Amino acid sequence: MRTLKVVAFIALAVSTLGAARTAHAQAFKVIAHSSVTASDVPSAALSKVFLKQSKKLPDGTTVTPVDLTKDSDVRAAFSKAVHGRAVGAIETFWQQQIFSGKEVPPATKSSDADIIAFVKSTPGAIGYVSGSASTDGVKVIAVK
Amino acid sequence: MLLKNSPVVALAVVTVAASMALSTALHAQDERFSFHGSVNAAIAKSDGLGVFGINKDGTSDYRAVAMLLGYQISSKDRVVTQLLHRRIGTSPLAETEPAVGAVWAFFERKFDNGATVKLGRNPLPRGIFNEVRFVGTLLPFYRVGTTVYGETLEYIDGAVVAKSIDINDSWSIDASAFGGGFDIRAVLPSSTGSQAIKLRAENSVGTQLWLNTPLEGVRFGAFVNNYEQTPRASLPEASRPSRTTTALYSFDAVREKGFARAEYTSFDSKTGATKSHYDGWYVLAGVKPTEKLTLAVEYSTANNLINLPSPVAPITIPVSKDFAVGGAWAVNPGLVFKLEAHRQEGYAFDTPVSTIVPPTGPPFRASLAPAAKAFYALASVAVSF
Repeated sequence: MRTLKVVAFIALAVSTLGAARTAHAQAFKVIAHSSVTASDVPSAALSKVFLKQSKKLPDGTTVTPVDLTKDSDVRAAFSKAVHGRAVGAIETFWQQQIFSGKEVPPATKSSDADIIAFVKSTPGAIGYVSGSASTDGVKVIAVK
Repeated sequence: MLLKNSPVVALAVVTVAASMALSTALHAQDERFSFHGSVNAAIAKSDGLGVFGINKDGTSDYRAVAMLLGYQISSKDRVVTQLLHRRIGTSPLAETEPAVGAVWAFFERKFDNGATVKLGRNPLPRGIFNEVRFVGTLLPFYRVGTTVYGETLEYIDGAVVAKSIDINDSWSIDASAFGGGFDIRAVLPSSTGSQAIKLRAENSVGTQLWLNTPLEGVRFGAFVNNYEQTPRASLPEASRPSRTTTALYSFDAVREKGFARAEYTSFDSKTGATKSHYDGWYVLAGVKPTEKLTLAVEYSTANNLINLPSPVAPITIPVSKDFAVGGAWAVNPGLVFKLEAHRQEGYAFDTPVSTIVPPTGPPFRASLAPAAKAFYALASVAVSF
């Protein structure tokens, strides 16, 4: 009986974790300009691109990241899922970069529509939008 | 009420508001412009002797306001300048501070291999805090520890080359090399009171290396710099200062719920037969019980071994021992309020204190006067955007 309870608990925990991951997956979609050849990207590589620690995706494509503004719920989900850190921690990271003269953060846009317009018109651009946004005219990239 | 009673806070608010408006205007004009700023403003009071410009009367003339402007010329090139307005109360060093000074003015080129070259007046990669020493939102206390950072080596006129190297998936090195010159500032005691000195170092070469470990946020650093103090050309050969080497070693561990940091610096100097050796270090630890609250403690100390005229034996002066406790409340990462208290003991005060008691006969050993001490406290607000 006790074994059954443990198995049931583990099953519940696993399904909850799975649901949370699915929620993250649905909270945002990564999009890129049609010139970007990659169809998927590891989250670690994506994190490096958005922190400007790398200009290239693993397949060698040079990309230009664009972020949503820091008060966006979609950015919060993206930050947790891709960087593994809250938006506040990323903001502190950028303060360090800015005030040590190293780098400035990616351009920011305030809505899905603005991100899509920027990505559509900028070769090499890569961004993210809410899971429900229409992505006509841009390429959707899976996060591994 | 706060605004009515505190010109410091009012100034900070006005400056930030104007800067943010300018930032928005510049962004609207052209995304190649970047504009950022920080304000670190305090009121402070000592219970006795003056320390770092904080005296018994208290001071609200204590702040550092930095404005940083950048222009991205192309995907590889940009120019950046940082202007600094700094007030340090009644410190003798205040007379060496311009109302506003350009602490950075550099051109940067990025190469395809990830290397960068900066030319002009550059931020100097030195230890954990050097480049951000005036950015209050990134500091656990109002200012960085003076026993390690002092008032020198803030920037370098010349060139800085930087490159990150991945050793494997877990370990990496951030390497910088630099060459050029920089200003040296210090307070020296004299018979008529403390005096600020401003010197220049040239023909400087050095490096800063960071070893990033597989533990996220944990790294080790080493900085070495060799330079000449100038002017030298006009001095007789025997009295010219020799080239000097300074080193700084760092341990830096920052996690989500807290941090631990320690840094040690030393340098030797020699003019003719006279030698001295300085070493200073600090340990700093903090916890973040909530996302907004940080509690920190810091202990810093410095010693100076000096040679005295023959036949008197050399003597080590425990220049400074500073113990600090503080709390910071971050409304958000760009707005932080801090309260801190310090106990300073030693011989490093704005007003000269007795240091060495000269020997009156054999065996010609000098002794130290009793160490002076003071308590001081600061309340500050830090803003950055």
